[in-house]
Amino acid sequence: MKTTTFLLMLGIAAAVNGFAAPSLRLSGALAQNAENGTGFRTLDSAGITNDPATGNLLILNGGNLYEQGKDGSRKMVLKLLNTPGALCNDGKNVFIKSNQVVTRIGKVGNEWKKLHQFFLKKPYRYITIADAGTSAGFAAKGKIFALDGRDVHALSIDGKPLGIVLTLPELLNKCPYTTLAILPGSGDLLAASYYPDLKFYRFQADGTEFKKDGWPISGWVTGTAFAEGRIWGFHFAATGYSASVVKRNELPKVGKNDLYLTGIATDGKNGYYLNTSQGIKHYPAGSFEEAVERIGGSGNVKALALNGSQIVASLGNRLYGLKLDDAHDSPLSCQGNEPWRVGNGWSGESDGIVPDGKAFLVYDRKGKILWRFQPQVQGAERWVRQPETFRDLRDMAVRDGKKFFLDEGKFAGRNNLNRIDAFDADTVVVADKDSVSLIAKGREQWKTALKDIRDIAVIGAYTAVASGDSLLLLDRKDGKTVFQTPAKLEHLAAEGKWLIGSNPEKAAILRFKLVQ
Amino acid sequence: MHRYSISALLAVLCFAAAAKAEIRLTGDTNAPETSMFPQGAKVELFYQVSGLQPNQGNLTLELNVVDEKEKSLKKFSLPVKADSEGRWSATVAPPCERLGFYRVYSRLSNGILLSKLASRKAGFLTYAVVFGEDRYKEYPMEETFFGNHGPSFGFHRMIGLRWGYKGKNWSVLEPEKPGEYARNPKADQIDLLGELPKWKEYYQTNQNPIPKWMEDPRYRITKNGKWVRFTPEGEKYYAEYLKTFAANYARQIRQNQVRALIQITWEPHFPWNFSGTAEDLVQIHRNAYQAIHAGTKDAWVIGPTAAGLNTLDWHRELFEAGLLKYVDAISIHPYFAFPPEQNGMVEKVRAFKALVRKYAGRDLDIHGNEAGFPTHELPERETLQMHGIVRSNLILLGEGFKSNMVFYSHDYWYEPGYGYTYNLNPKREFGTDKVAPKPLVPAIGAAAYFLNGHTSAGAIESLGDTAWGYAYQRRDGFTTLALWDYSGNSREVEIPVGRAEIELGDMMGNTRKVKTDDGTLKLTLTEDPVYVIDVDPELWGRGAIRPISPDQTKISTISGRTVTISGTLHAKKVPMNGTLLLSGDPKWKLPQMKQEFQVKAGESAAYSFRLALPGNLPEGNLPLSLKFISEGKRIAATTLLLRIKPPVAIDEILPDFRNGKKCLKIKMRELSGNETEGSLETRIVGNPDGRKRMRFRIRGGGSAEILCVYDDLEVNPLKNDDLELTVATDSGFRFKRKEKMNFLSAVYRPGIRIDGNLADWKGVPVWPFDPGMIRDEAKIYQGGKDLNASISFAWNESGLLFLVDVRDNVYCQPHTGWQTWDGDSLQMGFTRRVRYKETANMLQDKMNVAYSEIDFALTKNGPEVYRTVTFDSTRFPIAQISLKDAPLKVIKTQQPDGSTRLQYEISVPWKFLNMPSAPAAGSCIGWSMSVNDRDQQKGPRAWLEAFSLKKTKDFGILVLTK
Repeated sequence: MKTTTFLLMLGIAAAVNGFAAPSLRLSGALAQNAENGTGFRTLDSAGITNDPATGNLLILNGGNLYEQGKDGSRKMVLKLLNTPGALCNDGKNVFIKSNQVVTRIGKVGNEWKKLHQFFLKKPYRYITIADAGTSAGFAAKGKIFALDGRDVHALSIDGKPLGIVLTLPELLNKCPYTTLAILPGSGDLLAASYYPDLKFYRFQADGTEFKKDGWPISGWVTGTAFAEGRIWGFHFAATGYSASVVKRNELPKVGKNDLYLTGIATDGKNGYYLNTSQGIKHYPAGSFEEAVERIGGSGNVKALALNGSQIVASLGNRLYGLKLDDAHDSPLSCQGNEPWRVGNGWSGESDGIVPDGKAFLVYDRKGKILWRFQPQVQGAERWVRQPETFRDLRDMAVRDGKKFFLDEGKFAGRNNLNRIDAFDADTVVVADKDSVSLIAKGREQWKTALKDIRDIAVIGAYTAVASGDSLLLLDRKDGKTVFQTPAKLEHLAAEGKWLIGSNPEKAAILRFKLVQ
Repeated sequence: MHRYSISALLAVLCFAAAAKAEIRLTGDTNAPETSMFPQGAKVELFYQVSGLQPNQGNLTLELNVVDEKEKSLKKFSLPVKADSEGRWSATVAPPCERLGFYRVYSRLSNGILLSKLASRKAGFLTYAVVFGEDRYKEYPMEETFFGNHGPSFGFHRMIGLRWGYKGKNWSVLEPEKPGEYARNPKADQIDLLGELPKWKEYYQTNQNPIPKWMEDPRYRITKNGKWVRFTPEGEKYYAEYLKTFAANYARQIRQNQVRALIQITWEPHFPWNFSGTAEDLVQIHRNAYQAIHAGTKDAWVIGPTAAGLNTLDWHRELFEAGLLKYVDAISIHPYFAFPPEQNGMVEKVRAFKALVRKYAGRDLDIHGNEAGFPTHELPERETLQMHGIVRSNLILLGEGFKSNMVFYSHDYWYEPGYGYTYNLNPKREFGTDKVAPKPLVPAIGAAAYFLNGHTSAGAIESLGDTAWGYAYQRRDGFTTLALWDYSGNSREVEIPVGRAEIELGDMMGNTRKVKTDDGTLKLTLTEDPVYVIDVDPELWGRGAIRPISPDQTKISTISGRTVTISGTLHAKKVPMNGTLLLSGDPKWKLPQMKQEFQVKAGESAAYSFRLALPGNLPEGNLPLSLKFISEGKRIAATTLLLRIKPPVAIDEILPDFRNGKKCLKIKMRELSGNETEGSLETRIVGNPDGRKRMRFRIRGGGSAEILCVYDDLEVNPLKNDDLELTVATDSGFRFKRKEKMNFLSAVYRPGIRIDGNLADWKGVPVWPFDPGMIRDEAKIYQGGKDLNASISFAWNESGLLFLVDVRDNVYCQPHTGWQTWDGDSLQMGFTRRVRYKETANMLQDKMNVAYSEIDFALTKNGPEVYRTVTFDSTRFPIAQISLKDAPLKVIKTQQPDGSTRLQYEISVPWKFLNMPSAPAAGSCIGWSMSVNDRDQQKGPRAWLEAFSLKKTKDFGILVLTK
């Protein structure tokens, strides 16, 4: 048969069958809330507080100060170099404090400026600042207080040392103190202890411990901040402490399962923002246990996986979760931070995650351990070490219960491969930096040359390829490019009709839908 | 053969026999008949292993003793060393100090599980530590509630169940001919009760069974094999019998209880147990009532003994026909869906009582004499059985029922898992002689222990939106509370008890004493009821006037409004001089308000607070507390609930289709009177295409319809998805509404005829049933090869049209008539309205909703259509429907692989949905369906289900499109 006739027949067949070319339609962006102005690259920010003068939200991210107005618009207002620490305010001034450096910033005219900065001679365990409205108690002895072991040093607002104002009593088992605060009103000093004591103590100006009205109150307080006229203590949530803590369930509490809090700010409508390791989370009035919005970026994604509607992204040691149908500013769907560390430890580094049944296989490159991770399960079953070992695992895939591992880049006689995915238990697609091949039952079926391939993912009857500045679809049958769109993506993952890809430039995870 | 060879051969044979003998692990307790132990008794477990190799010693017996929550209490690991015959046994002393349920998972280290025994699955045995019959006090009949339904050799006494059935019936007393008993001059000497136990019990008698000779058409009229009424001659014999029986029975039972309770009918429902009308049933009761009361004044007629609490309409019909003139008290089988609270049991019971009150002019005693829950022999359902039966009994007692019998005393094969005990005798389906407890046993025993002798002193409704409870009081004033939270989450509450120290009982009966805070108890409520024993009757007893008596304990209001909280302070024996504080959860920043009072002892004073609510309170129930503080001490407290409604309400969310795109029509209403702007976000959980955000503006007091169009939404049209709608007003109010939603349309096709010619269905979308839509409680479904189906929807002026294509590996439809649902068939449910909000007018609601259910089947008689549920039994009776009215064609073809293909072409006329003609395009119909599959004539079956056939509120919405 002549080629032209054949092609004509194919075309007719295509018309008769309604054969439509596939495409990947951009469906949305996840983990990036840049719609209201400046978006952030990192998952979390260094700190938040309110501008005492306007009530606007201030955010410290990437060494820059951002201000968010009442309309939600956000803009950068100050570049800050050599300014480590978290934001806080004392009701009048705004500070950035680390455990060694205290910087005061403020508006001069209409511009934010660095007003003063001092460095302490050594890092302290914790630094707190008395609120501007309190002048009694310890606030009469100093403005800034630094914890060194059991000694509490007082300093002036400009950092002038004023001596040790209190030596905290020794705790059982020499349990250390970790956190300080000055109680508004009385000016009593609050000091929190670490595990296993885990209490929040209160001391009067004469050094005696205040043991009434519920004090000391048990609970782990990792940090404190002044907002709305009270001290907020951070643990899995932010709790507003009062002079009396007898009625614990009457203390205001914002957040749930938010570990590593470093700041709190109000939203001007009886709600709050919390600065967490998952980003800045907005808890409006009426929703103090369920955040409705997250301010943050996707971070530097090192691996991505999609299983049903659960997305898992890796930043190295830290993993976080998203849902496929999330909005761009949806809060992340994993609780706190600690339970989602590679192997539930602090040292693993993951750059490979794939779905495996209802779980995920996570490869810890540093420890050279393959884990099976079940985010929905608690306890020892959440992270289970797998028996497989590798010399240099480049990528892996699971399909129809069969696992494929690209150890040292070798597969089916090929070397130097970087990526692998599978259509079924017998059909695999592999890629090195500049080509993609289909291997069925161990034999190569086709090879397509491309440039700068960063990742591949099987979606339907196609292979999605992140190559150069493009996202392509290659047909399973012959490897031909059937769709191409500009998109610079790093890591891909697919399930059903959905493809996600990390975009380092936008610090977002883009979501595409396969349309045929 | 040489002797050596013979010995060797014998040795080989023995070895082979030993090698082939199966290793078996069995076990029992030292109370083998019941495995129930009174508290303080020693518990021992005996295990035997057989089939081991002689002297085999490489195995261990692993035991894990867990409680009803599967929490491990103790583990054992025993080395197993066989004797020369390959046997081993051991005795173990497991934990038994606390009242409760114990399950002992038992297995050998090579994986062999404890053998299955009758209805108890392999792998475990159970025992329970209970109060034991000696611990249960005796109370008069009127003050005894808990009962047992089913044969028992006495184990029900160990858990205090004192109601049951006793009394010979007509089929026993007159087996051969009329008058055998009634005209017997020595009838009064015939023992009707048998030996009464020393342990006090109270009885009803079921006079429903009739002698065989009464089935003669001269005496009894039937239809479809079911009872309609007695003939005049049959009535005469029945009355004659009942008069004599009642007189003798009442006399004999007087030694035991103040009156006889005689039940006449048992679940007389059409079509499975009765084929008559409401008037027929009333006549049966009239005849019986007159006869019984002619025989004695010491007997009550109880009836009509409905099957389930969801029978209000059925009762209403009977009451309208005059039934209540012919019963002295109500009997009912109060079956209800579990969990009872979330399914509306309290509301249903109250509606039932209101119905009785309306037609009788007063309250009548109500006796429940059968209600249970099947576990299908799945241990994972036993917790639901335990919680459901205990809490439903607490509800029934709390709402004023006089008694209830827990069904059934032990498992039986015909309906697996109904027992509250396992039946461990495989040879005796009924009346077994060996049982073992399920978790319900100690739990119902604890309820009976704490609450026997008590009657209701009222519901406790204001502790929180999923917190519930009752106060119960004995005649001597002793008052006990039962409280729980049915949400599955724990809830901290404070409740005044009027004691410095109080005793609490857990669900299994274990007690502990706790101190209160100036008479206020702090408690954490969970799904397990907690009993608060001996509270101050002045606070919780019947008619108690509490020191703080709010005018309303539940106040509905809107976020942002000012609400009045008012009531009365009653200073009883001591003056109330101090401060009344009103406060709420501080997270809502409600102002704490106070008023000072000086109320003399014996006097009262009114209080009133005007509470301005913030504009951003969430929708839901907000507990408030009122406390009276005098000299720094709290001397009185109470709680009340604010029911917060949002300033903006969503009245209705319906699907629609515009230009081929799926949409939602959202009707909103502004309630605060101020123009409101805000944002609306939809989310279809798990589906990225279902997320949309839009702005809205509604004028004050007005309403608006917002159309949300999805560009490219892909869903399974035969399933409900979870829709979340979040409304956030610019003023800061925010609420989320969750609903089930589906997108399913029927296309307009005037050309379709129900004639078996399927060409006219061309172009109508075909929707497959996902294999995940299978309902397969007995786990018999084998996947798509077993059963798969697809469906197309259309409509025209004649009615709703369906083409259902079923492929079934085994075609089995042995029935005709009303029972076709039990073979290969289709069952469809329809409602005329969707998301219907009920009014107080049941009849109007019924006609508006027009809920009906119709079966379609290919039987040995050809295609059949049978209506099994109706909203109007006069116009649309429960009966077979002529194919002229409801055309049905079924094309049956055998497939090459041996399976059967059935293509059902169906038309349901509009009048069946209570519509005079075709509705307009865009209208919504409620619809659900099951594709039933049976592969054997008897035994369990499975079905594919679209939506939820038996729950109209979960029906799919079918949109008529043009």
